[in-house]
Amino acid sequence: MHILKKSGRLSLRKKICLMILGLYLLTAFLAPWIMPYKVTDFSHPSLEPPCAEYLLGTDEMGHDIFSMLINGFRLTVALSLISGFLSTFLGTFLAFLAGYLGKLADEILTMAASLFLIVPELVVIMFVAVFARPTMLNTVLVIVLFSWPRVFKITRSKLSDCMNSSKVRYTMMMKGNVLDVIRKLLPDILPVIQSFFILQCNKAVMYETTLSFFGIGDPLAKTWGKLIRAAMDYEDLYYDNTFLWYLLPPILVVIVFTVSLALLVTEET
Amino acid sequence: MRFTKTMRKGVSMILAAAMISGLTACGGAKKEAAATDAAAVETTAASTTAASTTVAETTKTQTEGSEKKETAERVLRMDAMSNAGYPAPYLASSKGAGYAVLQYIFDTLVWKDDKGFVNYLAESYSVSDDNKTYTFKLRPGVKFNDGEPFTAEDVKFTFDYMTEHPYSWVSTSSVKEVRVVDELTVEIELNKVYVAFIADVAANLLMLPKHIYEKVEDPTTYTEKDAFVGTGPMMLESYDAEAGVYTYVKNPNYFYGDVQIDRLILSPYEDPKTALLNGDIDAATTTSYKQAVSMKGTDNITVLEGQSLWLCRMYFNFDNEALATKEVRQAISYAINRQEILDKAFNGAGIAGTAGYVHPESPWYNANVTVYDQDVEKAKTLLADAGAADSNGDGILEFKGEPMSYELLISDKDESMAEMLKAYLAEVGIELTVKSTDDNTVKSLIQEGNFTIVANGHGSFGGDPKYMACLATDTSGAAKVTTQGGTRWQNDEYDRIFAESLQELDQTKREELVDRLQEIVADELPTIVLYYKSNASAYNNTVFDGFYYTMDGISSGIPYLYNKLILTTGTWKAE
Repeated sequence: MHILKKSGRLSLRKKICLMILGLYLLTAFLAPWIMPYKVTDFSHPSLEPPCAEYLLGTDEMGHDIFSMLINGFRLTVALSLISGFLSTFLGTFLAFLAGYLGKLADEILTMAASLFLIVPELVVIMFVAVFARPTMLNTVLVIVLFSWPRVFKITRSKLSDCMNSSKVRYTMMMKGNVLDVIRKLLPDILPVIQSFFILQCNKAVMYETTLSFFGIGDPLAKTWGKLIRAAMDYEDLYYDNTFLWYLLPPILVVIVFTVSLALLVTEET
Repeated sequence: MRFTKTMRKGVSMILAAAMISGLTACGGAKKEAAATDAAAVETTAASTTAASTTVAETTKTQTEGSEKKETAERVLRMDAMSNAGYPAPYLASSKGAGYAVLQYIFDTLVWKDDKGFVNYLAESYSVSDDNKTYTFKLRPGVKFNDGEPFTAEDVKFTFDYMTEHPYSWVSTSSVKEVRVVDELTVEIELNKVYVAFIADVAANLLMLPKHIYEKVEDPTTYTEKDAFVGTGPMMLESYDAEAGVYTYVKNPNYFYGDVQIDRLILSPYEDPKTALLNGDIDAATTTSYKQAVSMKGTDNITVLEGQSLWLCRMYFNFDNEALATKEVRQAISYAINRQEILDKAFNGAGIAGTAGYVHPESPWYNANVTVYDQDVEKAKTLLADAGAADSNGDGILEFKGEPMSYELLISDKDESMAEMLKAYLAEVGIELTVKSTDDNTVKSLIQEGNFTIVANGHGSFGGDPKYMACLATDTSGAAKVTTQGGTRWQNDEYDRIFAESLQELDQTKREELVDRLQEIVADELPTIVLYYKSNASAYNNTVFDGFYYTMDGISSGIPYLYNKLILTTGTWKAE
């Protein structure tokens, strides 16, 4: 990846962020081997405090909280990467389409994107997700379908500059096919796309966590948002310090993940 | 969580969602909501807010207050159930919550305390030899809180009016005619013998003032202040619909004892336990069983445990060929571990479900019905016998070519239960996909019959087994919340015996009939009871003492401490 290649020149802050994100990815990949118990296994005693057997204790039903947290890495990181990639791809693709076809297609797409941008994305996403069948796939689809316009807007304006650059005009004049045009454009817009990919991943996590927190989406998928909600629903959360191992860990992993992603793309001051 | 639920609803959800930029914002918003709640209570307590509707004459209480200047005003604060609506019969919610806020203002001919029925507006009543006519002698000198006397005319008017404008909580379909004998005597003739008449109608039907309601064309939209005129111990001072806060003042002319408090404030709390411990309320009755019981041993707190009047059960859509097959439902019942569901998903706050529908602690319970202890092998055999087989090797059985994969609808609080049901049924080869939504939506989908399998609960369950009407073909005698829409289970024998049981005056014979009904239910399993919920409440005994659970719940099984008679029989302690 572009950013990784240049990591030698990256600041310490970005290096740390990259390391954290690498750790997240690694955990997600290795989750099945790290998880001491299956996430569907509710046969343990309920509400055990942390101990050697249950690192973060157990919940009311007798799930091992540590296993659920690790499983959340798998679900949330995968969901974040997939929705981040798809929404960036969709936005860029449409932006390219608008730029390449021009005129009517451009106008329609730009108008559609502007329309979507008027309403906050999260509102639309929640609204549609409430009515969709509650599956993980639908959550991804809804997030992708409604978070591309921002990508589209910026990429489109970036593209329109590049489209007018001499090398692209030359390719077009030579009746080069679409692939040739893309090949010429890519170096210019790749940095933008990369930043967007990271931002979209970040957003996807926030959206999914919020949706889960409100109980929208697959009710049985143990994402971090679900874990947070389950903890908040536990009546005695603050009476017996349970929040220390039930509520705080999922909140921390979400915050660290989103903050690392955000810091990776923000410019240093 | 009440907050999350409200958030989910329509516009408020969208507005709130717009504010949320991250999870931390949620915490902030929640605190704010709690703060407004508390503020609302304070303002209503101090005086009436501009937003609320002033109903009772406040001047009356003010003069009273000046008479006994020395003693501070006795204000009893309790937690309220949410969404109960305006406290007038046709405006309140059709659920128990609505009736609970009504019964402080409106009275019935017969009422219940902790031990059983008491003659209330009726001083006494007699039943004719053919058991079809009830003669009620009314208590003399009873006045509505606007000063008009309560007479036999009002009783006749109420029955006629409620026949013309059906009142969702009580059905008057059993009544043929109501005759006024003299000013204080009224005769009620039934269409046919109905053994549950007192329990079902006389103890539930709220007496309306004729001089007010005779002018009301559409009582469901009538919100003038005289819509709240009754004979009860309290008068409505204000109702803040936004915050769900009810403020009642004492009715000084109450006919049935002296009301021990001056004001009663009911306001909804998300966490009644904390509110009670912080002294924001004096009694917490909407707490969960576990929360209430956890307060045992706390100084000045009395914890009461009440009868179980609420059950959680599985509903099946009988349009589905597989689910309409008895053996399939039996197999499902064998696949489930009810005790584990109760312990893990509901903190053990109740009793595991039994097959015959009737509560195991009820005197009507038949202990000899089929017991379905978890038995995976037996469930598999039953499914195989019914013709279900996994022909394509995907681990999911097929029934007549259709994969046995169903959507399980649950309310969002019941996700743990859903997870367990899914795991149990997966063991025997039935796949469930879980859909969760808010409780009110689930309840209305059940009424519409718009579901495949639902696991949900309801009250109005307890006392006289007339509640078994919800499983009969003719559900007119059952509380609406207990019924199921769409294609339902039908059994001629059950219908016949149930109809017989309603007319059987001999207690022993009736018990035999009810036993037989339970046997049929246990064998056919039109519904699978998962657990019976227990109730517990807690109150601060240094403010007001003498709370009790009403026998079989207030009216038809409302399991809370709201009984109005408590306000006269209890003792004010905070002097």
